[in-house]
Amino acid sequence: MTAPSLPLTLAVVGHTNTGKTSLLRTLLRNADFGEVQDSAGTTRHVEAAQLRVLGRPYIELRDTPGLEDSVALSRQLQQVPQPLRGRACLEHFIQTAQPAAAAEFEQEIKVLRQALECHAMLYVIDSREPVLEKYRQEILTLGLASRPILPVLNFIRHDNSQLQQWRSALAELGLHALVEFDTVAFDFEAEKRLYQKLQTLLEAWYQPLQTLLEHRAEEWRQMRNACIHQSASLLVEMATLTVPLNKSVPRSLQLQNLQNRVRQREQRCLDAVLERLNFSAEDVELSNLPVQNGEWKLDLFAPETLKSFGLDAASAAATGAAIGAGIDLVLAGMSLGAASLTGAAIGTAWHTGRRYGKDLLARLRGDTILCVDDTTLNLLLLRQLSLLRHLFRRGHAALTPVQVAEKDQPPLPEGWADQVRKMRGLLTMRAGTDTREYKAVLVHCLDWLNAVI
Amino acid sequence: MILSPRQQLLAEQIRAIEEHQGVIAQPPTPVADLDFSTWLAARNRALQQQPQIDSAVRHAPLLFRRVLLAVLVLAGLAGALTCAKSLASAGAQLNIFWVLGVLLGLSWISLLLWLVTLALHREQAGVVAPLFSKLLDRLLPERPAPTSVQAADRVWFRRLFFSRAGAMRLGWITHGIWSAYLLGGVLGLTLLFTTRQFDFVWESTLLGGDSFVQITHWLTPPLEALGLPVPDTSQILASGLGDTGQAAGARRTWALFLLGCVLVYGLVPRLLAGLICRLLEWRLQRRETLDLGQTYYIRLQREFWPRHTPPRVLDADPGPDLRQSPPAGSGDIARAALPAHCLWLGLELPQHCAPPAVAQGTLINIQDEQSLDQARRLMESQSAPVALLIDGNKAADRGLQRIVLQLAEHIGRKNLWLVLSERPTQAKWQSWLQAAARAGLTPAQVTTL
Repeated sequence: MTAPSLPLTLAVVGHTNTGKTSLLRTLLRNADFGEVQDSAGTTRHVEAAQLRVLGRPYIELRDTPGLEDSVALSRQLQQVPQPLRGRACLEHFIQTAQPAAAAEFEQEIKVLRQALECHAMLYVIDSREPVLEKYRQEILTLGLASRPILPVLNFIRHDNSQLQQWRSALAELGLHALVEFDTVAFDFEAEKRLYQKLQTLLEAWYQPLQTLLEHRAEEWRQMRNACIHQSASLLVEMATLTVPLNKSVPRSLQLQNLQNRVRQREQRCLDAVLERLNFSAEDVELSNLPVQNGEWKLDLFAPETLKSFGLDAASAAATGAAIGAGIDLVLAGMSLGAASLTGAAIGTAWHTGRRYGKDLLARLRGDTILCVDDTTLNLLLLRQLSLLRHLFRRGHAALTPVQVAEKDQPPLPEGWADQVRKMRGLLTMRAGTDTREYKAVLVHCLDWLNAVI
Repeated sequence: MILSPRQQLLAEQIRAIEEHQGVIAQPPTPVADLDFSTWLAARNRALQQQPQIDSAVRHAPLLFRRVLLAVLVLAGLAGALTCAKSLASAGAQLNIFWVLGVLLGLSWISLLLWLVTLALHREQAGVVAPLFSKLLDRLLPERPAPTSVQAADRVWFRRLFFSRAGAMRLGWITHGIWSAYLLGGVLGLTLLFTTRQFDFVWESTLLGGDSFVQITHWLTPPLEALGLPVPDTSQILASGLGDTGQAAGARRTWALFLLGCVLVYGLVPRLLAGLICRLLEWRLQRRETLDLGQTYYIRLQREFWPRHTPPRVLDADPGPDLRQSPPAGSGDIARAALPAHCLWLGLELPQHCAPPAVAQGTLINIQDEQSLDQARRLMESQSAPVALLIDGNKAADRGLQRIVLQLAEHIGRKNLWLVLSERPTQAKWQSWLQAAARAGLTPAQVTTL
């Protein structure tokens, strides 16, 4: 078998307002592609974009105007002289349509032209709709182009009561391979299935599609990991953040400074995650997340924030503030004892002194340090989990909030206490960010977040 | 492609520069058949051709090499001077084991300390690493707006010295400096032994001659393996303090023994340790990866190495859509009174759209040509005004508009009302007003249930 020429051209077709442009936005991870509106006939031209692998175009996706009146169109096609069927019928209609018909079916002619030119069609269906005669007519008309058609059942997350009817109707029309792909509530597995179904329909393109699939999977894995890495870094960094309490400066001012540092760091993390997933601040606002203009709406230290994440507001009141619980160096002192014994035995007084000398000195002086307390860490975690869960499930076509089922989950996931203990361990060890211990805790936290999300 | 440590370092240096100075203009690097890493390496190579980038990225290694060379020279001089000073103060008689202690003792203590700290804390072994860390932070602090050179220098030093591989780098540098010191000592000794005559003695209050014989025999095997002459038992015993008139042969043997000891027990272990550190550094560097998840690389990827081409229009829209212009009299979503005794029909009503009580059970839902004919027959038989119930979530496409037009023509334009089942969005309300206008209905004939 000769290698097919790339790119593979896919025409995205379907009735008007079924989410064709949305499908392209989600597959391209580009919320700026085309125009999406809540009315019929938004897309009135054919627009193409190519998916690339290693700089080479693999798939060309062509967004087409919606089919609006397939019943009238099929009547027009029936008027084509009898011997001409299939592709010849469509070609004849396109070339010889009377001016009135050409004007009336201007959009449909654009779609038919693409149906003839492409290698395969993705027929997008609003699966909330009942199966109507006009949809059957659309499929039959498109079928005249003699190109494989892969039905894409869109909006399955909102209402899947019609799914079975659609499956049966499509099977009656000979379309047994179909894919459920919600362009709003994104699921990478669904995208994978889309390419896999195309592989079965387009055997000659099996290998290029496999390459594309592998690259997309790797890209998604990297993107997901990079986002989780941002969150894990934020949590570990904040759990190990310490500021010596300066007795000559008012404590409240120092607490405020520390709070600002936490806020800024959380904001940096949010910016990086949005950047990585190619979402804008507006997209997040539409995601049912407490984010406005790319910033968290509720302040991290406001009591309402605790309540909104199902945490006990009283716990914050007990510490006086959700941050800055002064730690006297009891824990460090205990470690110091053990470390001194070990140190004396192996003659590493220098090392021990360097590691714990400051703690010892601070203890003798009765100093305290400020660090981010557990309640704030809990909140940071919950906000990160909420953010990532929302964004990982949000398609780039979504124009409305995506609901993520979080209600049934406990406020704090299992294993978090263990993570906090490990992170706090770094605080006592005075392990810097370049150390092996710090990196090990970060990796541990990353793995745990990956499993939890 | 996995980038080599050198390519990773260059990428990070250029990242630091571009993060502060903005993306540097350059001819586009071809992307075909390249993965992002390979493309990045090619781009960075091309960028390095620019003199200002080249000088910025080379500044730190050049500085490092110069400083290292200067330190090595100084260490060599220090070794030679230490040797000269310790021998000068001894006069014509040299205490063999004392001189050995002076030349090798400090080196051995520091070597042991390094080994112990390495075992305890691999990232910052020895006393040099933490001091070096502090020194770098002082000399190259994190600046809000660094120059290209400052940005590139900071990344170079941080990446090469503050990592697991960096600890090994500090290791071989330290051992290199000690080697230079010891080599200076060897050269100094050689010079002194060539130009001056010393008697070699040993002395002790507690230990007898046997102990020195034993110690000397422990030290000699490697020297013998190297073909150096070693003192025999009679020569060792004869060198005890008080035995005067050492033979010329014995002097020469002791001098070569001393030089051999400094070489074998001072220089060689240091060189070996340095070599091991260098190998470990090389191995650890091979394991390092470039974090391409950093925002800078993501932006670069989006800008220069897109995963999809920019959209292009293949079949353009020839002109404005008439449906987009609002009809006269269009306004807010309204609820108008319907005539009494209407005939209720449905237009592609989904299951969840319940018709009003009067129409339940009798409503014909127009979904295809067959139901449209059925509706027409019913209209003819009843000759009553028609209320056409429509799902408010549905936009008026051309197919639906055609049916509305056909119904309006059949029943008369004044006898048809469009009733939207739910409060539609403004866009959908507008689309139905436009559909009504096309069918010759007034806006008042469009209402909600």
